Amino acid sequence: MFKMTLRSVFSNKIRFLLTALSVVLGVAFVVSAFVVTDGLRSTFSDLSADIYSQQDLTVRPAAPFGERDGDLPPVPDQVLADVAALDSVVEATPAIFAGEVLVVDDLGNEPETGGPPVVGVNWTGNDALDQFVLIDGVGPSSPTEIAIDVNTFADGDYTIGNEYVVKGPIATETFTLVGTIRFGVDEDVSVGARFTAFEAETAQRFLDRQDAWDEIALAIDGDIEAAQAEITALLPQGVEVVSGDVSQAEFNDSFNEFLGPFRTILLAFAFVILFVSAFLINNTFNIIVGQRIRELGLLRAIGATGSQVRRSVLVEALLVGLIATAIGLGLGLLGARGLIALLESQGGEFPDGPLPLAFRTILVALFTGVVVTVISAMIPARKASTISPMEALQETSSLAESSNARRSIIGAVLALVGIVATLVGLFGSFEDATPRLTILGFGAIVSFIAVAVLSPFLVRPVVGLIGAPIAGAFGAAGSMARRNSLRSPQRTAGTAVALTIGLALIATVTVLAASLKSTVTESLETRVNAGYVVFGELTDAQVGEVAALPGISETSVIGSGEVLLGDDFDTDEVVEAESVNFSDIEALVDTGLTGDYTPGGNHVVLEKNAAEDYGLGIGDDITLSFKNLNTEIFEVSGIYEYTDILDAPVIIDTTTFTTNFAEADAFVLLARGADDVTPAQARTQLDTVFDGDENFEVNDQAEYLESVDQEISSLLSIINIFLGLAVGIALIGIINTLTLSVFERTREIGLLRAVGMARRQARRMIRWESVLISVFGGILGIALGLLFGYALATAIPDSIISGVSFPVGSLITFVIMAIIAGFVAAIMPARRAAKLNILDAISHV
Amino acid sequence: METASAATSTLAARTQNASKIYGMGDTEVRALDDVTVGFARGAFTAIMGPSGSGKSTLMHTMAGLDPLTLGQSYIGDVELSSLNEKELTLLRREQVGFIFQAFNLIPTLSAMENITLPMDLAKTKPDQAWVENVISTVGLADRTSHRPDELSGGQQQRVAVARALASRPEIIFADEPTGNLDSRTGGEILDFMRSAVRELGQTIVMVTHDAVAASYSDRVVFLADGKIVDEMHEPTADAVFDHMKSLGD
Repeated sequence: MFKMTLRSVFSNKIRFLLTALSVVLGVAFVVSAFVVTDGLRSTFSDLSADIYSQQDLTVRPAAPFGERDGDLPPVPDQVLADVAALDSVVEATPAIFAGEVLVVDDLGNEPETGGPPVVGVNWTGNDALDQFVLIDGVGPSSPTEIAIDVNTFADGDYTIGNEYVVKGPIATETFTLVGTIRFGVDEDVSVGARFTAFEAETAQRFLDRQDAWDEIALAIDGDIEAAQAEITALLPQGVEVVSGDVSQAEFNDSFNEFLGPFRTILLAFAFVILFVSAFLINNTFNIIVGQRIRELGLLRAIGATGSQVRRSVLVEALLVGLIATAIGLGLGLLGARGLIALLESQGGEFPDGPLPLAFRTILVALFTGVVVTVISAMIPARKASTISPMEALQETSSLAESSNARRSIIGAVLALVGIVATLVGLFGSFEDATPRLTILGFGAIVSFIAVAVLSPFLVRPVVGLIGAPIAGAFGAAGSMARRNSLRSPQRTAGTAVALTIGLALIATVTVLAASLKSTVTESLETRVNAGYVVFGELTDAQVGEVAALPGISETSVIGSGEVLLGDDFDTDEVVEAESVNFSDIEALVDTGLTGDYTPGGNHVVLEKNAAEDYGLGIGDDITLSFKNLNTEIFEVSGIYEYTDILDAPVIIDTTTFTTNFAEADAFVLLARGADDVTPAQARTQLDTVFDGDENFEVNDQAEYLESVDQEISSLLSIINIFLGLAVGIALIGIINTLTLSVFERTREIGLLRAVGMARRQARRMIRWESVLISVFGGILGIALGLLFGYALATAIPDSIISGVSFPVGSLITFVIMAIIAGFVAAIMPARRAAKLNILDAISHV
Repeated sequence: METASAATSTLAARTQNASKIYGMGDTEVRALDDVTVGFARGAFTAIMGPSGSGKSTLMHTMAGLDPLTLGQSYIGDVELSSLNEKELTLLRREQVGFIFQAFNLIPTLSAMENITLPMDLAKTKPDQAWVENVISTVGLADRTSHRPDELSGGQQQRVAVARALASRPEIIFADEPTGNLDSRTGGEILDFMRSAVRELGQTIVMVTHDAVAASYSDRVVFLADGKIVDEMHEPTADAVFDHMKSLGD
């Protein structure tokens, strides 16, 4: 029996490959996701081990709440002196990491930014504690010298000994390049980060760390815990000392925080692919069982039990699953290399090395590949087991279509569960995103299964309707195509459902993107009066220059950072605050304000929903604490409504921001042209300040709109490329069904050819049948996508999406895509049908 | 039930007042109408009758492929309607052999694998000496590793005969076994079937409407309109043919 199953798998290699291919892709995605993230994780944990292995203790700013970020005040010089004086401290190496620092090369080019960090550091010459080694020349030892990392040196046009313009976080100065350095003692462990090293005091000055350091690495002689206690005792408030293990663990955690979502996204795509594959496998096995009905009947007649027949189908699925998983594993490893290459092309650099194929990865791959295949084959297998031995004796026989009554009841129950779960997921109240997404995902899955169960009922009306013009236009071949696709509604629907799911997801995302775009556009058009928006890490000098331009009337910078709602660092809530110039903001953005922006640093403005949450109104007091341990009481002077430019729950004045936040970086500059200059003049003046610097994006309103538009579009196209894979699998499903149908109808096609159907007509008949199936799937998918998109857009808060917009153009494109998909899928089966030898076909049993 | 026990000693299969009715009311068709018949052990019996006479239905119901509407059907002394689906399957596997007109073989298995398939399904070891005996009797010794599509129609039917014989069933049912073959090849198959009965002691019941095929049997039972209308022992082709003409085939 097993032998027979094995032979049956291999006797039809193309069918087998097509069926397996979808599983292969899904498994490959899963494997890539795990292998890449495992690989990166181990790379980074090696890296952190290298960096922190020599550091017994690290002195650094303590985060009183929230994230460890640039807003913490650095460690003062005095601490370095105090700690270095201790007997237990063998070595104390201070470090600064601050950015961005860009060295303009001989050709006037700057290193690329936007990828891994491009930072300035202090040169210590102590590679054991800070991992920086000299490769060429000498280390910077005077206030005018710098060294740059070997990667920057190699990528740009630099010569040791030449002078270079260096753009720092607060100023631009000229330095002499004296050497090249590398991060990593034994090998480059920079992972794409770029460094410029300065002499220590110069680093403090140029990188905006007056008399202070970001951290101090310590080598300890003797008992480390005792030394830690000793040091803790002499540290001022806001400074802490932690062991190298803690630093290392935090480093790993921060990286895992980035890797987690990355993996989740990859796995989500893998899930979509496997989900679509499940339908394809189910449909293929249904057809295969239908075609082997006489063979299976014969088996039953000569003594195979129902469960033996069922098992033989399941074993066949198991084999398909196993082989597909094996191939998928291989492909996944290749795909992982591809993903790494993709990340490297975005500026990351990773040490070469075998990508780790963890045992867990193999288990997950086996589980997904094999289990998905076997589960998908369960219903066909059950049908196979009920085939009566009498079938072996029938001249022609076909598998009974399952009962409509049962189908509609099951479908209705599934649809109800799916809709309820989706609605609960969308509109229910949840503390966390995870349960909401879980319920939403469950709802979507059940809804799709309901569609798969119910869609056979739609075949007759929908295919009948869209088939009518085809039947009219293409004569006998056209009407045969229409009738063939109506012949078995379950098969047509089963074939189309993969395409339905793929297109439903694409249409959902497209509707969301369109709605998001129109919301953003509307809010920008009606509420932003700034005229010009500059993005980038703005220095005070630049902001001052812009404000001084004669062609610019008002400016405001926006910065952001974490604040504590209250003064209890352990229990109070941490929220994001944005800073604006209270005196200018109203002229630049219509924030839908009630009350006013009272300048002077004693007032804050709250977002409307946040104010309701906090139970605060205009005139009330609010206590805020900052990372410099400062706690102040502010009066609420206004309540604003969310805009695309401002969205934090708390808005503070720029004065408050610069006093309490260490880096206080502004990342957006809003500016308004003066009334007595033309927009072109204002723009020209603005451009002179930023002088074509790639790190600043100067936009007028239209450009800003376009850049937002482009951002959404490029995100959309990335998502759609991945979802396109699901459509590709759907295509395979259609090819599979048509190939099997042509085989099944060999006699019939032979007969049609015998009574005068031309080869061309035979081809056309198959082709239009394929188009009908794919357009049916496409229309259903788009309709579902519109529904999902509408529901999602309604459920997302108005602050992000305020209205639904349907991108008609894109939707028409999708229908055309479905038609093309139908044509493409039909190429091989149609050729096969046309090539049939008439006599052989007619004698085919 | 003295008659029953007496019958079991000599009859491999029999029916008692067997009826098979399809449809209801106006559309009611009696494919079998109160048939009582027995097939002797170690004999080669042919069932003949015109199309629609119920001969295939008789065979299917006796072989446990199709349930009777009324009456009983026995293989040995086991009454079929008392068996559930699973027990019927096991009965077919152990005590019944089949030879169909076409589509007898699993295309993906070799001749030998097809022959031993019922034993493989039952997970029992084939009696090697017997299987070899059967294979040489049907003249397939040099063809056992071939796939069905590498064999001629006659060879395929011989494999089917060998499969039916391989598990030494209580009874073999053959449904038009030569229907798809030319007369010379058909004659060879019928020779093998007859020698299986004479030399190997098997019991075969064959449904046919070919008078020549029926002449190979020991006894012919004639059916018309679902009823047994006559029977003939030691038939000749001419006698059977004449009789069939009288039945209006």
